[in-house]
Amino acid sequence: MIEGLMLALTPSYLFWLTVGVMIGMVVGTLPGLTATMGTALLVPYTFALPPGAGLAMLGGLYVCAMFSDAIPAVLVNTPGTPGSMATAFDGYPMTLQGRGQEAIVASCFGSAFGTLFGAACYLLLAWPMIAIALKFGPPEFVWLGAFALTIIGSLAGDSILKGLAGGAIGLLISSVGISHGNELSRFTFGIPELRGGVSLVAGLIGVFAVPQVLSMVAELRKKEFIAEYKPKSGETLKTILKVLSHPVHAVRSAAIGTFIGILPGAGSPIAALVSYNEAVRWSKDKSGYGKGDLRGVTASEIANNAAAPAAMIPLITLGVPGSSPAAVIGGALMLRGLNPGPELFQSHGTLVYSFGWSLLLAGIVTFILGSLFAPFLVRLILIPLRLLAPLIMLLAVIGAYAIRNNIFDVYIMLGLGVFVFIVRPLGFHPGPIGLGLILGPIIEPSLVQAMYIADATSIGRVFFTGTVNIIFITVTVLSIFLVVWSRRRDRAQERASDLIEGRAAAAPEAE
Amino acid sequence: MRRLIDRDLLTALVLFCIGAVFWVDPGADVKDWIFPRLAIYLILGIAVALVARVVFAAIMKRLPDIIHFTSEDRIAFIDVLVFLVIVLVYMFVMYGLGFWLSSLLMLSLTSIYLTLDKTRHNIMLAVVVPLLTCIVFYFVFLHVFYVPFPKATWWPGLS
Repeated sequence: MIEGLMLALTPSYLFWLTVGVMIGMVVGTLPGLTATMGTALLVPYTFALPPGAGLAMLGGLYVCAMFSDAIPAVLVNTPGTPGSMATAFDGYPMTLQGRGQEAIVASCFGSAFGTLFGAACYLLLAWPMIAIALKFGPPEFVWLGAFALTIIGSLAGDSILKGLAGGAIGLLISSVGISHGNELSRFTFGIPELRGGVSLVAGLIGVFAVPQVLSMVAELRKKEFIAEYKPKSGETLKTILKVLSHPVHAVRSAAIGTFIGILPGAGSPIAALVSYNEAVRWSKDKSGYGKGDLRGVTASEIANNAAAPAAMIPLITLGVPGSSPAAVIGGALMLRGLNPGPELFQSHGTLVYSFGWSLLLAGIVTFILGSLFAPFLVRLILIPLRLLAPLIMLLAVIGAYAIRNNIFDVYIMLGLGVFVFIVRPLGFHPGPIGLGLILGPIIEPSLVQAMYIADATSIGRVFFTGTVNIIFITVTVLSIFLVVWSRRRDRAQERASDLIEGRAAAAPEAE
Repeated sequence: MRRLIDRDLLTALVLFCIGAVFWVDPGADVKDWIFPRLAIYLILGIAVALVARVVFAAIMKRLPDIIHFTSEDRIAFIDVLVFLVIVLVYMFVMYGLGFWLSSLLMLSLTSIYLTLDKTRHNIMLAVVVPLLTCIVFYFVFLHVFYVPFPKATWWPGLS
């Protein structure tokens, strides 16, 4: 492990790591360019470098892209990658309140904290953690998805029914394409392009970016900029202290992110969403969430960044990548003749540990660069709306197109965006629809696989036995119960305060 | 009559429409349709619940929750509509003029339309900023990230 640290600290390794971090900053910031695409594009260039330096560069890109995707989420309510969807829930309201710099610095510090936690787990706890991850099969993923769906309780806004409906619409859209059972065309309406399904990235850009652009156009005559912004000195330190004033929240978010990160197929978006949900659930004062609470930003960012190094744990220990970028990094290792798996630890232990240290250092470099650039990045919101709205629309078009080089994805994005813009005044929020889009591709394949397993045994045995299943069923039921209970309590409190205000207003009139 | 444009009733209508669009022959194997069908049942169930809520509110003589449109909203709606029309034309023209020229036109036209104070300086900005953006994006996406954008078909030599 020490040899790995020494290797990771050599100037050439640090230089390539920083280059990877800087590329990751661009990749994450541009909607439509994902960490997977960035790492895949960078792989050929790493062949000219020693294996450790190449891995450090790829790891740096992955880690930084998981931070920088928060920048558009915070500033213009458009997640750079699916992993930052939950960051936008509180990040954008913070920007509207003139706290954009605080939100960016919190994202940056949270990302660094999450990366350090995840990388430390990679270095110290890889084997014990993987033993737990191996207990996850298709039914466990179904329950994990069901549990993640309970986040609708936090995202639904005023009406839980409309939140649920939004989630169901997202799940339904995610099921367009070829079915997972017998590979039948579903909901394609005779359009061949729909057989490939709705691209998750294009769908999320449609749900979040397009309605945002249309809202900007609609508000153009009322305000010139997204929000006012004045750079504040000492903001970085103040924000760090604010984040550190909630240590339990930070560690819980990092632990959730790390645990979900090691589950193959779950990935950063689920980690961020579950972490956000748990942050709301365990918070004594929930009223600020969704309206610009710093803890909402850090819950999402800590978790999605902790999931990045954690996704490398199953890759390095078992040869099974925990996320798409991890799969690309696994491919880069294999192209060099290094097969990921238990043997890699024995044959190339120094390389494995230097990669872990590089991930950890990537968190630090990301924080330094991110906090340095934060005051400049926030100036984006000072671009007049009349110029910014068309620019975001162009970025949305490019992002939706670039993911599969398919113009049909752009039409889907636009259609979804207009739909969300129209139904928003009815009480729908983009959050639950985006949640459904993200969770659908995880829940449905697992459900179908579990049903195939159940063909050989029984539904009851597959879904309702096993420690992990029981735990998830229990927490899901408890979660639903808590959502209903807390909403009733909030409503009762609102009524009581309305009554008191009404009496207070009536008293002087009576006099 | 005002109750017919109640927010919940309109939501229920939207949900019924979605349910109807996605209500297709499920196929023989439960594994092909269980997941979307559960989502549709949930959507339709919520739609029924919302209708029931509106009916209950009518019986209890509660005030309907109506979406209000002011004259400002109507102007904003026209802005959004014009913006969307330009974007839709852009989608169509993209295959004729190529991605970059059509993008430049879309950006310039929308920026000029959205510039309320049409001074010489503002119009200049609405043309120069899109031009610079297209040049930067062209190099970033085409030469760094190798994204093959649609090329011009009306004049093949254009881009």
